Amino acid sequence: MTSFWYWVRIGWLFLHLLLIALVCLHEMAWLVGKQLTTIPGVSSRFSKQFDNVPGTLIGTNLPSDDVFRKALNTYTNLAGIEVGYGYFAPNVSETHALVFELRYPDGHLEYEPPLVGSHEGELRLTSLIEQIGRTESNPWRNELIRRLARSTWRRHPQTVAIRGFFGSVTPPTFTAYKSGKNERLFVCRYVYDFTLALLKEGGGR
Amino acid sequence: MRAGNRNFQFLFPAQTGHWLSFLRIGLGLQVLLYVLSLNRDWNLIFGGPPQGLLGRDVGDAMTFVQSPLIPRLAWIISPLSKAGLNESAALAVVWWALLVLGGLMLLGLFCRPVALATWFLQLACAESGGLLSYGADNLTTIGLFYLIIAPWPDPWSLDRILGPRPTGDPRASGFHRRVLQLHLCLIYFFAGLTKCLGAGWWNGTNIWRSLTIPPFDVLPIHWMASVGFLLPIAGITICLLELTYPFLIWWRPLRKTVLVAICALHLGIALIMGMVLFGTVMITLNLAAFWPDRKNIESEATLENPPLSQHTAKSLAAEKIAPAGI
Repeated sequence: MTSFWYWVRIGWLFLHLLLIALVCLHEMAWLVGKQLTTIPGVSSRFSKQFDNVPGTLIGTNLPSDDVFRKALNTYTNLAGIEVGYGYFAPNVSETHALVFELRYPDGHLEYEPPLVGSHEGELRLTSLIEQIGRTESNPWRNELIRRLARSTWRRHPQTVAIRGFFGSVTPPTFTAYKSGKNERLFVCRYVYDFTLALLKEGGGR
Repeated sequence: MRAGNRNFQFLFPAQTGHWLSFLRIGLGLQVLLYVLSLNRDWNLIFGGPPQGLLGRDVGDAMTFVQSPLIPRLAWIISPLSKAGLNESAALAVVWWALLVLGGLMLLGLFCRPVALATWFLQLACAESGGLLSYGADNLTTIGLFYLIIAPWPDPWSLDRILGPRPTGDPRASGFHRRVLQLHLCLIYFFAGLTKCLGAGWWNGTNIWRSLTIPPFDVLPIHWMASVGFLLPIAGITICLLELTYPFLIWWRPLRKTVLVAICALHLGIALIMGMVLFGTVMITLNLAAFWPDRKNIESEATLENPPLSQHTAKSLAAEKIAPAGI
């Protein structure tokens, strides 16, 4: 191995590991800022200061069309290191659920969640529903649910209208289960009405 | 000078390349599992607005915003559409291509081109899947990324067995394994640290929730309740195992124990939570990175502290003796 390639490899290793660590620190700062951890009394201002270095170095503070940011995004995505590793952490929060009410021409109703055909597909669908639940943008949530409603409508093309119920699901705690309470609590947060025209063109209310 | 030599020894240990065989075979299996487990939902997950669950355009747009240079399925499907294939047929081509590539990777035929093509297709699927992708996809991309830059061929590949090609440079092989090892240490350190910051991992709540919410509720809930007293112990053990992994895994007397423990954890996640793809990719990465290679340990002892000026000579020597088993 020539000295040149030796130093190229060392340099790449350093930058690669630095990027991984910065992405993880950035994710951690976000969790701390959202007060999702047990670190007491941490203000969002402090977490922003904490995120100053990793956030700046991985370009999240730069405009989305900045060349440096795009170059970093390209490399991190190609290497699979664009996200952190906080799986099921710091806490497993409430889960979310989406159920569609299908209205048929004769007036009868049926209820159905978005469906996939395999367990692996179900894991991916769960990931999607959780991300819809976490989004703070109403238009984005509306659009994603409209698309899922459209997929359901394709399976039931004779329906005249679809209503979507999106909310959180709280499973029984261990203590509650032990005392005989086995039900999951669904709290509806959003209701969407879709007509055939809305499903085709976009929108919903 | 001695510190420089020690650093060199640490970053460029001479390796036989068997770890690379492990990684290639494991990721070949992973790719096969990926396409087979998604067979029934392939068009639903990667289809465009007319047939997809969400529509591939969402993932494509999210990827494009990050950078137009990141591969996505539109790069493959658009030319195929222009050639006259409809979207379902184009997606079937991608599915079959990944299946064949996974098989070739398993066998070790045309190692580097196959690794490159598999990485490209898997990454395109993960990016276009967008919100329907999850951690297993990222970890598979990581493994495939290390495969495309690894020194080929590995000792157990058909490329090596059928052709007269020697295995890759042992020191380059050792360096790439070291990168994977350090990456895994960072993964577990931050995963463990983030878990430690959640109260639910210390009192068992998070374990209970993880195992009782759909679709992870593979075990009946009354089974989980019957071993409820173990939940806090399990939560704390996972936190500590992940947090201390980056330190204990380097201590040779404990290496096998830590490796077995972390693989058992991922096997448990695969079987008890149904996250098979996640479990297999993590077990593959761990075994490839840290499964003790007796030949390698002996080579490290033999080549202890070579002078910096003799790097090239040592590399050549190691290259000659490594395939023979040292």
